[in-house]
Amino acid sequence: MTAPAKSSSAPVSEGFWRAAGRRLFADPLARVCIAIVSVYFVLAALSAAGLIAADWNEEYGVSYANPWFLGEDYPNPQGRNSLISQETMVIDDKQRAVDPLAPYYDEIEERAMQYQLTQRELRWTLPLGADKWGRDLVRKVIKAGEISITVGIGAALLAVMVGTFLGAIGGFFGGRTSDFLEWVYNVFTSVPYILLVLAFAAVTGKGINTIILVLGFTGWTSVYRLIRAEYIKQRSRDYVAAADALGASSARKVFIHILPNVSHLSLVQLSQLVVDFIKAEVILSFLGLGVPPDSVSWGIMINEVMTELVLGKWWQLATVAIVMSVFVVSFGLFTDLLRDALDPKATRR
Amino acid sequence: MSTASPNTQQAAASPALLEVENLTVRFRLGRQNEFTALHGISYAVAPNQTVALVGESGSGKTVSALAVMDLLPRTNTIITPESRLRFNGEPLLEESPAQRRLRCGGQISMIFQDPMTSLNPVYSVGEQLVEILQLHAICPTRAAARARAIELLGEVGIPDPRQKVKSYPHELSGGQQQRVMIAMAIACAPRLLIADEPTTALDVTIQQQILELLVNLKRSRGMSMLFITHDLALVREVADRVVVMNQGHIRESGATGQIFEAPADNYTRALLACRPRIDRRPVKLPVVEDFMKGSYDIDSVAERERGVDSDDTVVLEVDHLRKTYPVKTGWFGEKQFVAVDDVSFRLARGKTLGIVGESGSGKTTLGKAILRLHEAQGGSVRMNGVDLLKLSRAEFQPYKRQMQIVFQNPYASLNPRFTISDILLEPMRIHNLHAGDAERIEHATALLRQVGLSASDLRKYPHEFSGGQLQRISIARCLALKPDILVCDEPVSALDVSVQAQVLNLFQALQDEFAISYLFISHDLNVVKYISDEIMVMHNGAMVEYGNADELYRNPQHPYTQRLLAAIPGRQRHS
Amino acid sequence: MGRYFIRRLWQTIPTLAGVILLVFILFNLFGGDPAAILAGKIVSPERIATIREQLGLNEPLWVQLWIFVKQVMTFDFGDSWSTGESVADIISQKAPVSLTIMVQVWLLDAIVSISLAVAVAYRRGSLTDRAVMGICTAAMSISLLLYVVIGQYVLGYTLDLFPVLGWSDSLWTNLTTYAPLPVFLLLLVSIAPSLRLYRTFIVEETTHDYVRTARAKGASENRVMFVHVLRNALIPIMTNMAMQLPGLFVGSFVIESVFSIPGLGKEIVAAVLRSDFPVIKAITIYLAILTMLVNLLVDLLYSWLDPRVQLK
Repeated sequence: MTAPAKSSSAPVSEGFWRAAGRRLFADPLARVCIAIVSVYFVLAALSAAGLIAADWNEEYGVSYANPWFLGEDYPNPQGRNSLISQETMVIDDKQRAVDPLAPYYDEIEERAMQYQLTQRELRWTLPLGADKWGRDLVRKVIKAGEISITVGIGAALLAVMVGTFLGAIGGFFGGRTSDFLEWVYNVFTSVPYILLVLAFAAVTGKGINTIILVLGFTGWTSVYRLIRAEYIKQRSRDYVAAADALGASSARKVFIHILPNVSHLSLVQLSQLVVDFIKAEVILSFLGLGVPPDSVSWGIMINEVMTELVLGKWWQLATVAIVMSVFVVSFGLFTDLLRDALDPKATRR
Repeated sequence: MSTASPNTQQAAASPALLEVENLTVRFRLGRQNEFTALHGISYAVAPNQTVALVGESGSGKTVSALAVMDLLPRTNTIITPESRLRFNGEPLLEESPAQRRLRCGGQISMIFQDPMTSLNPVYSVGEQLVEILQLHAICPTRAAARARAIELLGEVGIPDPRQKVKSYPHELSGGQQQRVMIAMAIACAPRLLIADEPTTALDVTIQQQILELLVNLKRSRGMSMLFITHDLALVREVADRVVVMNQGHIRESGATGQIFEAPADNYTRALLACRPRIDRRPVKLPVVEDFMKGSYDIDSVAERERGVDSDDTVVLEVDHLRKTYPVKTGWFGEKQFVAVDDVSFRLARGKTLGIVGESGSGKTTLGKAILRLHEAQGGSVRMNGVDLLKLSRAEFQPYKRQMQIVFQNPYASLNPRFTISDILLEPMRIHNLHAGDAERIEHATALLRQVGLSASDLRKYPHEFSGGQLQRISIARCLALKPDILVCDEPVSALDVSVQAQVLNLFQALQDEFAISYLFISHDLNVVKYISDEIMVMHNGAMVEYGNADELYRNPQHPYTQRLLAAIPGRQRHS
Repeated sequence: MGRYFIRRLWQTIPTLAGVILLVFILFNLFGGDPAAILAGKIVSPERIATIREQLGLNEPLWVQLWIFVKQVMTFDFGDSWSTGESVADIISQKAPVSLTIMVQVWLLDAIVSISLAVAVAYRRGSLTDRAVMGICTAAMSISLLLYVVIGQYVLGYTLDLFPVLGWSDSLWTNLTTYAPLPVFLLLLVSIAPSLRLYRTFIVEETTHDYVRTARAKGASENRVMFVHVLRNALIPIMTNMAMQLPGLFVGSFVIESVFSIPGLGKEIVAAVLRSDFPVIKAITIYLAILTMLVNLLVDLLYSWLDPRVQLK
């Protein structure tokens, strides 16, 4: 038995969102998570604006340049202290005779000269090392983060908007509308999610926008389910009946009365889906079905890692693993705390 | 059922079975917050005695019982070291959790308010009875336990116990579920039975049967009983002693006769007086504040005359109203469940029609069908000669202004994301009343004052108010449209007794001032009697009796009405 | 019961029709010209025309849809475009491989996460509980791919505890040599979400009134947890486990690709990369049918576990 809620004498009345924000910020862990996630967002925004990491695709170091802490003396296949002795191929007349491109060698070189306008001095170490093409991993991981986060947020926004809208309509109106939406839902969930994504991906081809659309249009089902159930619960609440008795229209009931009472669930779903979709993008890109390979994302970086590991070049893996994990773990913990703050009575799922 | 047992005096003299002494219980809420639920209370239960703990919500009556059972959550409960709990002379608080758990169900047993949720849904009634019999080693074998379980079910009045022992809780009615709970509680012949609001979740007629069962079992088995309730009237027939609690303190305790005949404490007096009585109808109900200020003479208040005259203006005519729900049967089959069947009545200006019935009688559905919140399947609802059920949605819109509704649960009927200002302005915005929001806010402020709240409350959210205040806000929202008719669907049932009186007084004052007609739906026969000019009794969707309120209570015609009235707790039964 | 089954099977027809329509629209309208894909790099108009003729692509759409429906009804999806094998053969060869891994993961995941969930739910609200939940959140946020890549590198390559990758024809060799590392890595990934979910189910049950009744009857805390709470929590837990069944046949795309396990998951990825539409279509339809059958099974399970549910 608890004390009945008494009218508080607090001068400022706390609305739902303000109170939730206060609860969220009261938790030190939440503040840490928010700070970390904000740093990522700022970096992603700067990168999107072309202010940083715009030159991620350029050659800054030698291939597989060492990270700074290993020093320049750490063996590098490009020459310095190399453990692998490279066989240099001399192009002699014999070679020229069999090479069909031989007559064009001069022309090729001449053309190539036109593009090599500036010859950057390649470095043996870079802060976090370099990949096979000598690209700076710091720049690369920032650019990759921009793409991955964009995909995650874009797809999550799309899925939550579609799911919330359909869930609201289906849950509030019932009848044929609801039956139809339930049918669509059943069809989408009859196919295992990842297979559905692959089937979509198989026909739509590659590209960042495509991947956002694919993830968004296959990922709305969980939001739909949740919001629909909540609308069914809310529509029989007395405050909706009261609005009905006052003469409120259906649209008013759906969007002005009920939506504010379920929107916190959509927000939590949004937060949850960002992490889920970043993970999905990583796997799709790894399998070669996501972001096109001339672009970069965390998934593509992990894809490249597979061949490097055999050569003992672990720094790209370490970089992307740490950078990505810090983000998704912070975001995941933030989602949990957000859920607790928005819905204190609900248990975590 | 009779009044206090004759051996009261004798029982009080013998050493106490349960002694609660200086019990202080605090709950930790969050990091620094603590809430003191009990402030050093003391009471005792003697062998063969029934003690009633009476109080409103937040009084701590249940907490004290849970403390005896060691059922308070361990993580956040603090029982101060000065507290003493003695059962049969043995100090309970010094025992290990395991020892205390063994007493539960064996020596002390407890039944709860809601039998539906208190029984485990996945085990049959028999399995649940067998469990307790085996836990306390009453029966050596499962077969013996099962046989005993059937006997117990018979003893608590379950028909056909041999079959019912195999049923699952959801297959039984609410009354039968509570009987099963009682069977479990008495299975191991406990010395003390704690009954926490055992009849509150049940219908009036069932309430009385369960109460009789408890009293009889207590007598035949020589148990003591600790009876916890919010309803003082109920206690009169059951208890030897009464303990009145309020906000963690004991206000008064004494023999039942003394508490009812000569209450010493103002709060006790108020509790006794502010509940509407069948035989009295004061112009204004006394409220707790009246008593706390000092002595208050109930008899000084004038009686109100009620009833409908033939020359009163009729504002609403309902004829042969019928509401059915489709129920799916088999493949494509559909059966119609009749929720309201052929109901007709007239409602006069400034008068109240009380609609009485038990749960499932269709009284709420009737109210909603009239407002077109549910679609009716037949009959007519006429206002000024216009059949409202035949109008299109758009044509009906202006009529919504004239009929409004107040719901039972004030916490659910106000949108939690709206401020009070949003809530009060919305009806005026929808119906385009007043010029501009500035004028509307002015009007909203006036409305708030009218229901006893202040202008500063406009910026607040519903969760900052108590149940009674929220119900006032709901009423203010209805008043914003200046309706002619107000459907009140159990508007005071969720409120504490002392708050009930305040809200009923508000309803009465508004009716006196604006001549609003009320359709007052309630299961509470005392409340309906107090507020109504006419009364309609509903049973299984049908109207069984309809007429003048005083006449109907004095001389009920239908057997169902007679049963209903006979079951009113605390009703003095002269032949 | 029998009537219930017939009714439920009847109800799955619209869903199945929907899946057929979805797959048809996806592949036949948006999927590009299959003939062009089939013909590959040799762009000879005559060859493409022949292929179009064979696939019935010159027919109007509804005829194509009918061809597809007939394929579904007869379970005959034709041959793979790239290997020429019949799709049915591919599935019957690859699915058991995926199952070899996934059944282990499914069972071990259930055993481990239910036990842990009970242990954590006992201490709900405590620091241990909060810490375990935090670790679960962290663990489930990190991509499966990282577990797999790092696990394979460290445990297989660097420490040489397991073979790095491979698969054999002998079930025993597979179970003892090749499966343990993938199973272990998949468990690492799957336990966190399962544990969280099952803990929620159990904690939710502990808030119900019947738990208080059980205590009031004198049942010990162990008895309350195992006889009363867990029995009720098993209803959602077992439902959740049943829902995972269709996925077992598909296997894990990532694990099978990284460890070169010739299961259905790897086959699907390869099919998608090759635009081998018959294989993708067939697997999608088969899995949809399987999912519907599992849903039916879940209903049965429900009525068996929960006396309140009756099949009518």
